[in-house]
Amino acid sequence: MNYLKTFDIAYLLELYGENVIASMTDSKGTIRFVSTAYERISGYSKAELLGKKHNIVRHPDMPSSLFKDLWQTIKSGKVWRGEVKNLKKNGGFYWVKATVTPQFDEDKNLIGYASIREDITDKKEAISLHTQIQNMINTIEDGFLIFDKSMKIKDGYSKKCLEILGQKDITYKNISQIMFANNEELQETFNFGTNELFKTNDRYTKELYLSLLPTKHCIKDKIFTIDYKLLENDELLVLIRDITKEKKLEKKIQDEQKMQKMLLSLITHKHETIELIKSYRLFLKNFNTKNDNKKLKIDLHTFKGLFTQLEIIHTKNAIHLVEEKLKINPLELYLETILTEAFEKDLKIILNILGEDFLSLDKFVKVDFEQFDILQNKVENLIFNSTEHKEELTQLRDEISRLKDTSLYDMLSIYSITIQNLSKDTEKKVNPLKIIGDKKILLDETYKGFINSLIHIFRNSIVHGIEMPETRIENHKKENGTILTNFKLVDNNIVLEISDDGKGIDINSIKRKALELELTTEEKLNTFSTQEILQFIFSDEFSTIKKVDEIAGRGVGLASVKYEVLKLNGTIEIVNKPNIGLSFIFTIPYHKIYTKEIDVLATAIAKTIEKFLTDDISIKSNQIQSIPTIDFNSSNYISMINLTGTSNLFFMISLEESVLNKIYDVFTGGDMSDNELEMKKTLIDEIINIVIGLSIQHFPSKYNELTLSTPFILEADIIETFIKNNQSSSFQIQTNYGDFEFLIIEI
Amino acid sequence: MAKVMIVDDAKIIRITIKKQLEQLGHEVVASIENGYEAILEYEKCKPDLVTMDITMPVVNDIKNGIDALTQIMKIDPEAKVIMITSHGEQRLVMEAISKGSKGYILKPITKDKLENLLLKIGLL
Repeated sequence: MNYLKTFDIAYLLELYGENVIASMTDSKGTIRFVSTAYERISGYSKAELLGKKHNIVRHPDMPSSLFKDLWQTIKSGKVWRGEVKNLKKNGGFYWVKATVTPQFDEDKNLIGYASIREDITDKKEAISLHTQIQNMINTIEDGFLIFDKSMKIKDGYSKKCLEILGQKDITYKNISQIMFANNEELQETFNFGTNELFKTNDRYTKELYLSLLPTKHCIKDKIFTIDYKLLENDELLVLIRDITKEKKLEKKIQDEQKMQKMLLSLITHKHETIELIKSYRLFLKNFNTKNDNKKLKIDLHTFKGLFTQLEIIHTKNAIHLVEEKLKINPLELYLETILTEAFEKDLKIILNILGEDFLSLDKFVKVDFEQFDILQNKVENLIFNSTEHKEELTQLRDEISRLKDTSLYDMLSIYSITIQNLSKDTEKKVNPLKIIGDKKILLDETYKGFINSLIHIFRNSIVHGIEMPETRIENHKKENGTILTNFKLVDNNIVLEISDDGKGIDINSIKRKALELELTTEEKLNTFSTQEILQFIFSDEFSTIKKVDEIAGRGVGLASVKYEVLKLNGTIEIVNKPNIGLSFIFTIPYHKIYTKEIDVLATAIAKTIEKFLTDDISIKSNQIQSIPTIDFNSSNYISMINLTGTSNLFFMISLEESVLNKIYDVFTGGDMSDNELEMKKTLIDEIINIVIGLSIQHFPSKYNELTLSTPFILEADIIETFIKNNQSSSFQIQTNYGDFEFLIIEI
Repeated sequence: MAKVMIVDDAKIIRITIKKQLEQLGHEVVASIENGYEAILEYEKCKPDLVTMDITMPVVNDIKNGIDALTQIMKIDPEAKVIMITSHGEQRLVMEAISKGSKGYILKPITKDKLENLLLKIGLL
């Protein structure tokens, strides 16, 4: 107390006035006192303020509700506290945190109000700046967030993040759980990488980890790219860019292309389309009555194959989706909706573009075709509705559907006319063509090329096999020659034999001719079996020789027969009995068309190769197409790999030199000349490894567990033996630098 | 000029890296097919730089390039080892870096990529 007394009260007041923004008003609000600090902050002098109402410093930004609250509070004798923006004399403003206290006299009558204030202008400015920045961030089209080693997302991310990541609020949430919500593997990679990044102090090492963090992901229907930037204070800035739209546009263009493909395929396979649509309609109609899940899955899979073949994409995709769902869920009503909607969509497209008439039957088809369909539908109904004899009924349906294919017998009988005409032209006598075989063996259109090529076999028999009538009599043969065709089914193969009783082939003449045409060497020829020598007549050289020559003439057109047979994965055997006759025995796998899993596999690989060429080698592929196995060009650089495990696959790639050179350039930087051939051989092995490495994740489940052999190179003729009797698929990827082909064979 | 040891099971990659390094003025002192031999060879030739393929055949418990890297780092904590890697191996590369690798090159290998990396780790 004594100590205080030594101070002049006036000095204390001055000290107070200098530092405290204080004012006092009477009970009406008229200013009676202001401190020096008040004068300084408001810009008004004491003289200007005293006797004025307090609202002289009222800023128009302040809502009147605030003052209403202030007056209500203080009038009722309570203390009011609040943040107020005030107007300066010069039009500027300042923020204060004010405390207004009612003042009473000794009799407790209200005499006025005392206010003290704290200047909070700086704080308010900072907050306002923060809001401005946040608003700015929110207008950015990209997601934008910051996190540190706590792995928690800091406040102040851009709003776009919420939209892309499908969240309501991500403040202080774990970044990896938010950004890779549906993928534990990515979360682990991200956590490992960022953890190591924050651990090290070396900027370069930090950048290394940064470059290895996941850069693309999708959550629900959003696809986004992710960029990272290391900030000075060891925080990570994450930039998330929504690329869903771009991807969608890309997909739209692809869809358009797919649709064109579909229409083309529908026009060329009109009958199949009509039949498929009918049976699928029926299938959908009875979809929910099905209780045999296994059968349903088989049917779905078959339909998927058929729709894939005709490029009817929405339906195909819908079936695929339903198949996937059925793997984990029981059969439910909504699955039918998925199928029906996609199917209706496809039908609408088909009818819109090809016209309403497209699906009605061809006017030139016989009436009994329709009756046939009715019959077929009845059987379909039976299959779906009956619980017994399902297997027999399914067999019946298959047999009925085969009635529409052409019988092999009928196809061959066309040649009896050819034979009659040919024998007249050559003045030879030939009995009418004898055909022995089961009339119920039916072939679809994939066999047409083969059947058509048989003309060359018949022609050869008449022109070169069957002797002139005089010669035949001299040789104690019947004057009339005989051509016999005989076919049967053996182990799911059609075995077709076409034989004549002519003079057969002089094997020595074939040998001479083969040497003359430089198809082989004398040395090799000696090691060949008779069958191998006879097969020379199928070579292109024998086939295309112009000079009319007894022996060469034997082979005219036969190369095309061989081509067609190989296309069907078949074989030809020649049985030669000099002066007695010649037989060709064709063994052709007998099948109905289904989409083979190996085709799905091949498509996945084709896409991978395209991506590899674009991304790593910077070569654009012009066209990707499935090619007949026999067209696989094995004369270029070739490498082969064997994949074993759940299946036994042989995969081979063949590159034209120019495309290999381009890859070689990219791999080696170009200027390497020594031992180039050896290097290219190693390079192609590396390429096959890369291709399998990149595509293995896209393999159908059947091929999931496979181990790779080391690549090796095969002789072309060995590949032929592989193709025979095995499932295979082959693709060609055309580029400006040449073709990249591959062949896959399942054994 | 640095002395370099190349470790890769693919011959084409070994030859490619060798040529490119030579063009950049370095000397390839060893060209090795597997991680196990790489560890033995490292002690013999003490190279300034090792290029290490990540996926290689297993030899004597050394199941890939990372195992070989780990052993080499034990022998010489100052060793400069860079990883040769393919797409989809990011997680493995991270592990390699945490074990002391100085960087990585994503296949296909180009002279530019090599030059860049060597520059960054102070060998050019």
